Amino acid sequence: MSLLEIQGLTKAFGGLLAVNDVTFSIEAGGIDAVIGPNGAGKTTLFNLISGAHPPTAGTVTFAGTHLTGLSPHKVAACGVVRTFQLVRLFGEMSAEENVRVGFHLSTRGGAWSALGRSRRMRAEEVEIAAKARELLALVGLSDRAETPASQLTYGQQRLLEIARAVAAGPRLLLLDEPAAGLDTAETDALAEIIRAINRRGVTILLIEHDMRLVMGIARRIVVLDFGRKIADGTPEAVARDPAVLEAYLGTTETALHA
Amino acid sequence: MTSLASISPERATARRRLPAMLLVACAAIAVIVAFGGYFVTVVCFAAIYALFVSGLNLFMGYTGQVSFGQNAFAALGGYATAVLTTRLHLDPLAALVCGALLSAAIAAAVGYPTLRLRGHYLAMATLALGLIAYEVAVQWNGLTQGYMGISGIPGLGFAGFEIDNERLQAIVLLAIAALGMGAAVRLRRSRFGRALGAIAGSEEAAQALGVDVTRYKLWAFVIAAVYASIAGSLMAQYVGFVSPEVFGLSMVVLGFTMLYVGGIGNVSGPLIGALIVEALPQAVSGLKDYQDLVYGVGLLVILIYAPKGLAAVDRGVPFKPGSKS
Repeated sequence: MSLLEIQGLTKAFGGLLAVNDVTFSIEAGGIDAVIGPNGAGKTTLFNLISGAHPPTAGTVTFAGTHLTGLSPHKVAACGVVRTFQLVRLFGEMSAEENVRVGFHLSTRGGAWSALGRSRRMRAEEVEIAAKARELLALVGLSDRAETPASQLTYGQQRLLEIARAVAAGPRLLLLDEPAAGLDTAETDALAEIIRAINRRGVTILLIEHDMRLVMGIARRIVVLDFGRKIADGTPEAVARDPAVLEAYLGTTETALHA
Repeated sequence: MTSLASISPERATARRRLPAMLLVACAAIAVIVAFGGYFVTVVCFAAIYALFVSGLNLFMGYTGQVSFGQNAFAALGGYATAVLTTRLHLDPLAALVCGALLSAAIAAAVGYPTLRLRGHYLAMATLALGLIAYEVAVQWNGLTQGYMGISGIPGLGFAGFEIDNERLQAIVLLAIAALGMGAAVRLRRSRFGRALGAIAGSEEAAQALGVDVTRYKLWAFVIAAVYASIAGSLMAQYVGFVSPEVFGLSMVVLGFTMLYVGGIGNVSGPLIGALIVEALPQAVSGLKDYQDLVYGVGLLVILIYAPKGLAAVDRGVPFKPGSKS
């Protein structure tokens, strides 16, 4: 059984079919990508999977559980965690505290435990502080732990958001254009980080415009255009697919390498 | 290693500041004992308001929501104390607890549908809450005695023991305010507080990390209501009288002024704001006709030169929950 199964997924905004009868599945353990021109419905697809929008039709099944209709925090609790195209950090908090929020699902305790400050709770705080530092190291932000998130550079903010998402313990991590706004060196570093996260056993699905990144790390690519799936396969197969070349990359193969 | 890791920067700062804070507390008590008189009254009101504003700060500063209706819960606490002590001759402390429980229950019931609203809509809905409380206080003659209000409320105290020394009252009220602010610090520096801060930062991101935003907003609203209710009860006990006007819209305006002058999102902001806003009119009262003008200009100057509140002035940058200071 696939980790994620998307069946006939459709989302209509008024008369516009942002996502139109999309079906595909994701196997556990890989790095897959969804590509497509602007407005192809990629982010809407993520919003449907993560529960931000209810679909008009179709189903999303994750590890045998129906995600369709679940609110976003419940989808996260099922093990599907996303990042955002426009980075959404908790700007007033330090980088480390942002990551600590990520441990919300794996920790316990509400207002009463906060007031009591039990031994167990303090031990848990120490533990997640150490884990948060470890994740900051993973994305190369160890020396920025105390910096308020809003004062990080754009590239650092993207990496922090990824570290925070990994803290939430996803089985499937949805990355929405993680390389947007990054320069070449930063993108190369990002590719390594994504691979490192994948090696920890996290399945990754990313939306990306940066073809160099996608072709470099994705095992398999789903192509959307005007809400429809027009191709699905290995990077090599997709790059040669005439429908993709025409709809997305232009009409000649050279466009792909431009 | 463990002991190093367990002291987060904000805690280290708090520890460094502890001696200074104790000194300020001792100085305040010494001044109270030495001066007495109207100064003590100002301190008492400031302490009560500090508690009220701490609750508001939790909901607005930490959680990033807005409420113009916290006076409704202060009224609930105040009237609960008034009715329970004068009619049923309940102990003032027991009446305060009853009021707080009643406020929590009503906040939960009202908050559940209301907190779906955001921004201006939430502001309007909560404003209505305060207006409804006011109308109920005016119209429910049998219970509240309408505009007349209820007088003869027993003073601060418990178990038959009443604190009638004004200086002692000020110290007790300050201690209660300190307790309330200490609780706010603990709430903020926890998984619970981080979830509130996450909601203030980005609701979508908080949800994506598994935070049940609706539930945490409701908790913040209920806790803020409990703070307001306790402040209302203490007000009733301290003044010995409640009327609809005591918990009117002016309380909301005063609370907001204190929150912004002191520093929203800052733990010590409510106390600083409450002291300044309570003391400023007294300090300029000698100016007769011009006192309102000078008071207004004074507040403006503070907000221009300390836009993040007075509590954040020494740090150059605003101390927001969780950030390094």
